[in-house]
Amino acid sequence: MTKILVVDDSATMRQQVRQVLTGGGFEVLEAVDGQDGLATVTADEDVKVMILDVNMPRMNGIELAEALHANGRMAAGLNVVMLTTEGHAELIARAKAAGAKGWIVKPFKPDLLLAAVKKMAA
Amino acid sequence: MNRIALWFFWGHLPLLTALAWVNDAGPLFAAALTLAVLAGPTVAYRSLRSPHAISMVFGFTAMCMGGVLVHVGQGPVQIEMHFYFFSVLAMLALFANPMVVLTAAATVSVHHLLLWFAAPKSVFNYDAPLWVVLVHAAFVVLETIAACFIARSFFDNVIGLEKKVEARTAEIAQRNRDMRLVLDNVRQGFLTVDAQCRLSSEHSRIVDTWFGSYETDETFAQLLGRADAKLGAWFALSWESVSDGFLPLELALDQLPKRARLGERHFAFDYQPIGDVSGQLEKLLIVVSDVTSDVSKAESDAQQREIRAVLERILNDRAGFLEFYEEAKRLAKASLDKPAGDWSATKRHIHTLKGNSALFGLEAVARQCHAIEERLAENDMPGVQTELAQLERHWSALSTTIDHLLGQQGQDLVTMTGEEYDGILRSVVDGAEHADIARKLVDLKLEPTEQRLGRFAEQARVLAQRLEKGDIEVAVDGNGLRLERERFADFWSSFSDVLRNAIDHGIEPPAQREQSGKPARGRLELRSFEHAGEFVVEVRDDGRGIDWEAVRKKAKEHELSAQTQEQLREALFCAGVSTAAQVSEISGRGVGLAAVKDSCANLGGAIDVRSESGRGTVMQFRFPLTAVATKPLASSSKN
Repeated sequence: MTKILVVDDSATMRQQVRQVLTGGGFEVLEAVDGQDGLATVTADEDVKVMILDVNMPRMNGIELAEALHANGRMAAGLNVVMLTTEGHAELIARAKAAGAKGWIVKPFKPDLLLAAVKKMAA
Repeated sequence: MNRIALWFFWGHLPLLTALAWVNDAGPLFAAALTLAVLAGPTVAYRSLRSPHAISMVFGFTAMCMGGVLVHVGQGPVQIEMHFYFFSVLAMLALFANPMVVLTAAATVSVHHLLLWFAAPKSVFNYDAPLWVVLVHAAFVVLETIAACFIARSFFDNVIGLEKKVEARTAEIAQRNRDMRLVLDNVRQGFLTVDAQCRLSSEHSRIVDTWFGSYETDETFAQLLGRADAKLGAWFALSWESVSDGFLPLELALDQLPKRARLGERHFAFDYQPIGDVSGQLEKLLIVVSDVTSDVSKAESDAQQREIRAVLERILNDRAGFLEFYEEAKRLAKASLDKPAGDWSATKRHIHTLKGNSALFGLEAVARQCHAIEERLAENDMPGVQTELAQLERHWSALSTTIDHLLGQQGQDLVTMTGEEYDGILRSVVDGAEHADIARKLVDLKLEPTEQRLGRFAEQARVLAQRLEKGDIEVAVDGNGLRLERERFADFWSSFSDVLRNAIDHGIEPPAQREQSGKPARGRLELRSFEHAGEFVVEVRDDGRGIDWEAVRKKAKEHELSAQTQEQLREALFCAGVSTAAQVSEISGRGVGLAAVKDSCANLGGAIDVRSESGRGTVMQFRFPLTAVATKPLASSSKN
């Protein structure tokens, strides 16, 4: 089963993403902030797609994307997608510069999130 | 044409009379004959409505007139007078109607034949045989054919053409008017972009009116950017997801901006992809709808709802509304007074204003506050300023309306129920003690605790929803008791922390409740009653109960004694102690319960806590009746 890591400090949001993705046949790992996310993805080579919240304590989503870009994990095939509310143009631009493949606006439509993850995990 | 013809034939009257006189053919008879002929067209002209029918009468008249001419022109030139028929037959072509010519031809044929037979002198100046009459007839037939042809083509190419042009012009003018009407009212337009977002020339004209004309190598993002730079940038960024193909096209299109406000107009965008054979995006149809009227209708509906909510509040709980309104005014002023640098106070004010407004049904204010909070969270200061300006506009309009609704009714309004009124009246009629009546009157100025607890109940329900504790049940019973508003102000303001505590830490989420065999809906009871010489305000929840172990731990951290149950209870109400695992914006800072303890003590009251693990908590705030009882007017009653 393809592993997806969702990094979000909101338990509700993690739960929602998990529900959609496990329903779509993915194995979902969770992390509560950027540092936790970095540790989890570093410990697990099989994570194929990461869904990152932007605003998180300790290390935010952008910093995490930048770290994954710097340590070569993205180049090794990890796809990163940001989960954000509408209107954060600068943040998205930074995340894309750091190698994030795209962004999904919260609140997301379950079928579209699943379609996006399927496409990136393929 | 018919009018000209009428004048023309009336011109024959003097001419024929004069001719008859010169020719010695009886001028009076000639005049009478001409008048008789003229009667036909004159009556027809005045009475017939169809110009065609009138002109056919003229065809008949022309030939009769010819007959009169030939008759009065008897003598050597009588044969030459026949030229008249041929000239007038040709002239009849001017009516542009072959039927006029045919009528005339038929008339002249019958007329000529009859007169030749009955009164040959009035036709020929010699004894003409039948074949001569037939020769005349042959010429008439030939000319009639020619005249009919000319009349027809005159109609087709001159008269008819003018009419056609006129009709066509009118038709075009009408179509233009219709088109203008459509254009003025059109609320939807479209434009198309290619896979690089470049605009194609194919688009509705109305789009030019809305966004201005554009060059075909411009992108839609640039077009939007001309009116709103931020929107343009957002579109450009969103378009990247469409063009880079990492995300599914449907998702990428779904994330393109859907709404925009350009100047005074509001637009909605809908995107329809047009793919090539391989399914790649080739073109995108952008349907733009002007939703300005929908937006303003929604705004005005929201305003109406707000005003209705305000009215309901004023009617049902005036004092409560006034209290809210006073605080809201203060908060709005504090938030809008151009905060410089330090936004933390604004954040707090806006947050409180949002919560209170939501509670009192001021949806638009709450929504606006939420928008400000969002911008603050994003550190988008220009955005904050814009939203603040909007709040200011909205608040100023709303508060004007509220002030108007409140009108002259100041804070100092005494309300009573019919029952209370009857009670006082009975005391007066029964000759009760003045002091007794005075006490009843003073009571009227006190606040019914039921009203106050009712407000808290509502607050509790909203709070429970926000904290994901579901739709909790809140029971209120004031037992008809009243309290002095001013004296208990501090107590009530700290009392809301007791509620927050009960909902946040006491009542479990519905799923958890069901797991432990409780009804999914949490229950809260707010009561006031008199008991054993005391006035009691009670809060009872059926939550998980106080975690005394956690309190003991916290108390120790704060170096408080936590040996006996009494000491634990004390600790619960000490500043800094909280049993909450996590400090949230709602509660858990350990400040609230300390405040309620202080305000209670200031009124000479005490607090009782009974809690049973898994079953719930009861908190009682007990005040001696002397603290509650008003001793007013004992002296004034004597006066």
